[in-house]
Amino acid sequence: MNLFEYEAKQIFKRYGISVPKSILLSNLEEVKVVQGLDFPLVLKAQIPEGRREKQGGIIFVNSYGELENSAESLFGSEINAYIVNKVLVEEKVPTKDEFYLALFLDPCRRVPLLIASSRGGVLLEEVVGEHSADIASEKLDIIYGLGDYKIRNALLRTGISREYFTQIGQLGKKAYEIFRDYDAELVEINPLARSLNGNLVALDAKIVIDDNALFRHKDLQKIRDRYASDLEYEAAMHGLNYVQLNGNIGVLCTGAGLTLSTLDLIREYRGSPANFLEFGGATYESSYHALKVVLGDPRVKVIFIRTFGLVARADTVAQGLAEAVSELKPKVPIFAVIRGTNEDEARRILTKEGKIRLFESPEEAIRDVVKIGKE
Amino acid sequence: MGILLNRKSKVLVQGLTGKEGRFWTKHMLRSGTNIVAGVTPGRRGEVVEGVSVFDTVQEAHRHLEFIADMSVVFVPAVFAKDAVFEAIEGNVKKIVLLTDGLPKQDALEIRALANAKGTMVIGPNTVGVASVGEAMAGFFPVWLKGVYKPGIVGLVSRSGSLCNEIASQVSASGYGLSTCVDIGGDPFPCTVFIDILELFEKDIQTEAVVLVGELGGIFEEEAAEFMRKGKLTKPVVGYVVGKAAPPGKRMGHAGAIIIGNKGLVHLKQRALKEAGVLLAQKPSQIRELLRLSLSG
Repeated sequence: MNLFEYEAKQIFKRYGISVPKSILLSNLEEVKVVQGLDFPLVLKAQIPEGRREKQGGIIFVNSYGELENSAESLFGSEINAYIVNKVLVEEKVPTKDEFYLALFLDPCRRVPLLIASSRGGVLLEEVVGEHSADIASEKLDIIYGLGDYKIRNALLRTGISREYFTQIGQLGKKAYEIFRDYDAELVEINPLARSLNGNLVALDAKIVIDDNALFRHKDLQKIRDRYASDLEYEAAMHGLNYVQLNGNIGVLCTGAGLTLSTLDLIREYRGSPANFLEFGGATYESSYHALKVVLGDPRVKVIFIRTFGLVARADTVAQGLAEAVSELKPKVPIFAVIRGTNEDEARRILTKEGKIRLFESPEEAIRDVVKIGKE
Repeated sequence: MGILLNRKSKVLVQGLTGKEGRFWTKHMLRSGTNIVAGVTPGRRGEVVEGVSVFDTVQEAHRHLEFIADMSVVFVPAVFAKDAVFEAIEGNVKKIVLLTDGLPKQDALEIRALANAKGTMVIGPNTVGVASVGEAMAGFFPVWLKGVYKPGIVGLVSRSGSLCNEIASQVSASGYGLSTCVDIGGDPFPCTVFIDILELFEKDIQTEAVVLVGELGGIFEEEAAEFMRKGKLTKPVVGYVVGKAAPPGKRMGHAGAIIIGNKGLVHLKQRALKEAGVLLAQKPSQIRELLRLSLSG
């Protein structure tokens, strides 16, 4: 889960990391009551992810007139497929230096990393490679945590002036506390700026929470604003792993690997998948909701379903599919290859329902599926 | 003889009284697994499929008067770390952590403790281990007709859901399966490909290996390096999924810099190919590639 910048900054503040003075606008009307902030101000569109600068999502203003106009242009606009429903208005902080600091669960080395750079406030990946002199990543041990020597190791390699080490170290430890307390996969501050009075301020804040840990962070809700579309929101609410792609062949399978294999196979036969959707587990509700989601996509011309999962029982999956079909009466053709535990019963259920056409082999089914996709 | 599990292995089931625990305990027993006890806090005294349930691993061991060789963990994410820590501390040397949805930082903590204590943990998010024809720990439907035939090919996979599909292909090839291991689909598994390949190299029953990889991480690249160093001398057929996958979640600047291009399927395929692995582009090619590698 990507937290909004304003959420991340609220957490930073609670943990003692300074952020610019700000007011959060939850609707356009609220801009009229902005007070207590000194110009120049910056308006920042609050979206879960994506480059805002290049799409007009960050606007500097010097007067109330400009503030109102900019707020009006931001609210309801679409940036990176998200509708802007909240705008953060901050005082612009003059800075002496800007750094980069992050804590990141690295899926390559499979350890948490402390990452620091003397180049803050830029599109870092465009100015440094992983092994550049300006950037340092230090592997962390989850048991020992962020020790002082780890911070020294990283900062010394970045060329950041030693006079800042103590301050950055203290702030880094607070960031690490947040990283652990919130089950974060990423806590990123870009830039971490040194203001004119010598304090460190997080001018931007990005926190990505591990979705698997949401059960122990009930204060973080899966609200509609976090998703780019109604369908993705619906999928998320039912615990489905769903990503929209560009094509017109709807896909749903039991298990991620089986789904990926199916997408590869469809592409091999020159078809174009409309989505990735894996569902599973032992409850039929998941197959019911999964089919509903895929049917909700108007681009889909044909649907292909596969079961061969291990935990997911074919008959419970079939039950959910049959219910979805009889309730929604879909017009698009639906093909399926049903294998796995209780597969005979599963096929009996679906044959009785009648709408879903069953195949023995996935390649056989995909040939027909792709043909329909091309019509 | 399976590489991790055989008919004589004394297996504990944590979470035995849950819905999945019960269903799969029945099937594990039928497949030949020697389940010696179950553990579910608060359910001491119950008997499930003839297996006695205890409140704790400690109590189970006290009653049994021996330490179990392996524990299979059917415990939901919210309690899983505690259950695994309990088994590690109880000196169970092999743990199959089936749990899907385990918080990543919990997985890292489990891995750290397991490494410190010399415990082998398979998972999280695994369907387990099957010593085909002998025993099974987890969710393998070994009774499915034509899918799991005993034989000489070791299967190690990052995908549980593909195990059935790939196992059918290996069974259809005629060579059959020795042991199937799912290292799990999560990004921080406690056991990786090379740990299992090492065991397959030493296993006299295994004459070839099928390795099923996936987009993300560098597990396949590590396996390729392991093979290039000569540590696995048996033929390998590989299959890597995710060429047509959606791009992963963007992880800020850190993700862009640290991950960069790593984890892409074509890079994994190239590394495996350079290490001498025969690559299948789809599951149905596996049969032919096995014949090529083994009839040599």
